[in-house]
Amino acid sequence: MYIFKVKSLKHITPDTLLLTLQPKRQKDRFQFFPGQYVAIGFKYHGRPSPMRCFSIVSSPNNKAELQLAMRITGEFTSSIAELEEGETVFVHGPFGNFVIDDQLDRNIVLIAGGIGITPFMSMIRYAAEARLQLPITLLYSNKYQTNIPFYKELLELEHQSSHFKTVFFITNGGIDKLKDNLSTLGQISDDKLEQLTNQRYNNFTFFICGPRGFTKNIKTMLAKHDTDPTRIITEEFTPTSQTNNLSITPKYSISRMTYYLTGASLVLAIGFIMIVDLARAVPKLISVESRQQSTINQTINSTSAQNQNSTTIQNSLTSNNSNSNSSSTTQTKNYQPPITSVS
Amino acid sequence: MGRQQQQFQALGSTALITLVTKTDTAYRQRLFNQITRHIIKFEQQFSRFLADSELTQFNKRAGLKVPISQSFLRMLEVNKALSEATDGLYNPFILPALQQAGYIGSWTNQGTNKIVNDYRNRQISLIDNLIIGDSWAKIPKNSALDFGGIGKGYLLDELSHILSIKKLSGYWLSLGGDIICAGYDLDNEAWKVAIQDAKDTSQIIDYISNQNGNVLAIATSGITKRKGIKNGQGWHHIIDPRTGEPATTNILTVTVTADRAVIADVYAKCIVIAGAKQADTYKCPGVIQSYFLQLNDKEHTLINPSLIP
Repeated sequence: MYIFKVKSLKHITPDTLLLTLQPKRQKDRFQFFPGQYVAIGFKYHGRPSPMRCFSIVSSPNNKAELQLAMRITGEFTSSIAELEEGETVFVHGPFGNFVIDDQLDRNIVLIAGGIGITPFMSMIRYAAEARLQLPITLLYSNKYQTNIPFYKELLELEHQSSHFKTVFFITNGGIDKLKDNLSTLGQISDDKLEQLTNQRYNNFTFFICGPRGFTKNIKTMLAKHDTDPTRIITEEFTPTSQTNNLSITPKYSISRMTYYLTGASLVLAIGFIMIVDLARAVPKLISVESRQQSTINQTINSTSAQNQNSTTIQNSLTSNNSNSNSSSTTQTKNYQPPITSVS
Repeated sequence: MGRQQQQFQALGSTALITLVTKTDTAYRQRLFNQITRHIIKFEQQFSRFLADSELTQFNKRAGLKVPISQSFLRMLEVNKALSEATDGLYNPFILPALQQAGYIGSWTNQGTNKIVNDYRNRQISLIDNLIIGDSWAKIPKNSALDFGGIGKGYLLDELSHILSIKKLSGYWLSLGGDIICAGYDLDNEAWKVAIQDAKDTSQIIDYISNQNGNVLAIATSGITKRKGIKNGQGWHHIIDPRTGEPATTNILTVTVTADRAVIADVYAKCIVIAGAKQADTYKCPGVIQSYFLQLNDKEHTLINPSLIP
């Protein structure tokens, strides 16, 4: 665990908070890859808070501070907003493999939904600082034009680098306050992806981050065009990761605890009865299953006999071991013994 | 107790996985899936026949300090260590010579399919010129690496390590004829690995038995496979780094046993290059356990007969 202190807190949109942390000691500076996340916790009313995960938005080059951004949606994030400068924050991590591999990913499309922009900010900032010659396009969807985290910085980064392009998508209201040539009204659509990729979907690696529904929609669109699944990398924001209500343990009242214990006892009792029933039924099931398995295997065997050139062998037979009273032995049909040959 | 086997094509040859467990088939299937994923990932990273592989991308940037993944770094370190241990007889820089000799495409297409990258005008470099940093590496501009010499052995060791921590009674894995086995077969029988007759591959010439159930790796190398004719001249894939040409040897095949597949793999190739007379120099503790020669001119030689049932 690393120990940081709050350096600053800033609302970058009405409901988005940028938390900047500073390592307390030299050994609290850690390395991470752009796109990774950390779990953070702090003292709340003198007791440790639960840990919650947030993507790192700062570049790994900036070892003097660690930046996280979050929508203020619940008790936990509201409590972060109330932290004061200098207060201690505990950091675990870094975690996650939502990272660019510049050996494999050479044409990158980042698709962000709302606060899903956070891991991408670290990637984009790092790419700009390192002057990576890596073509990156950001498709960034938000509900309202007045609530786009990092809008100005993204425009600035695009201005600085010829390798970075961004398109803003606004789903509600107008786009009159945004830069015309970079903004589109409506959702990220199939047409837009087609236009961007020129229908060569497999020449790109797609990183998607946003709410579950958003991620699913984009994945469906890409799958429709037979995009190689290894070229679609996703990070979903779930209630337990990016935001959640703050709960300080122990929090349960006696009555609630009693309620839970009673429920657990009932579940255990029902489970016990089911196991007893199952134990009685199993011998019958096994005999039925072995008959069914035998039929299945006959089908498999006849299929493999018709297709001897098939490269996949996975025919298994279940038969009673004649040397054993009760155990059964599973053996591979057409088992090939080991032969060493010139490799 | 159950035994299950699965086969598929990978690394330009056949991968054969056999597992014996006391657990159900679903558990074995999960292991098969895990191993298969690992093999595919390995191939995607280290194959010189794939344009996207980390190796291909690395070779393209020869002459530059290239950032590399940790797994690539480990592979380079093993290559360097083995090259130094064999006094350069194993050398991962032989790719230009291999291509000059005629081994251009993946062997799944008989070594003659479309060339991914043409390095025929590059040179075999000395292993000292492979510079490895903490997260980067560099090779000379006019050189290229190939891990074909140790790739299968290296991967078998990784797979064996994965399986060693699972609930298995025994297993054996084969990648194109290189084998690693441990534990026992059904009814606690020792794994018995057949050695193919070099002169008639439909025949078995002998067996190696893994009586004690420890990890045993068996690799066979030779000039009877992965060969062809180029400009009227015969070629095979065992390149002697000292000459840059296919090795001139009196060995048809050699089968080597060791406790690590990468060792068996490398030393089998070294014995083919060095010739039968030199084979004994590699037989020492920590290197190879035994070897089995099949020569051009006479009957096979068997060393360490305790391994034979």
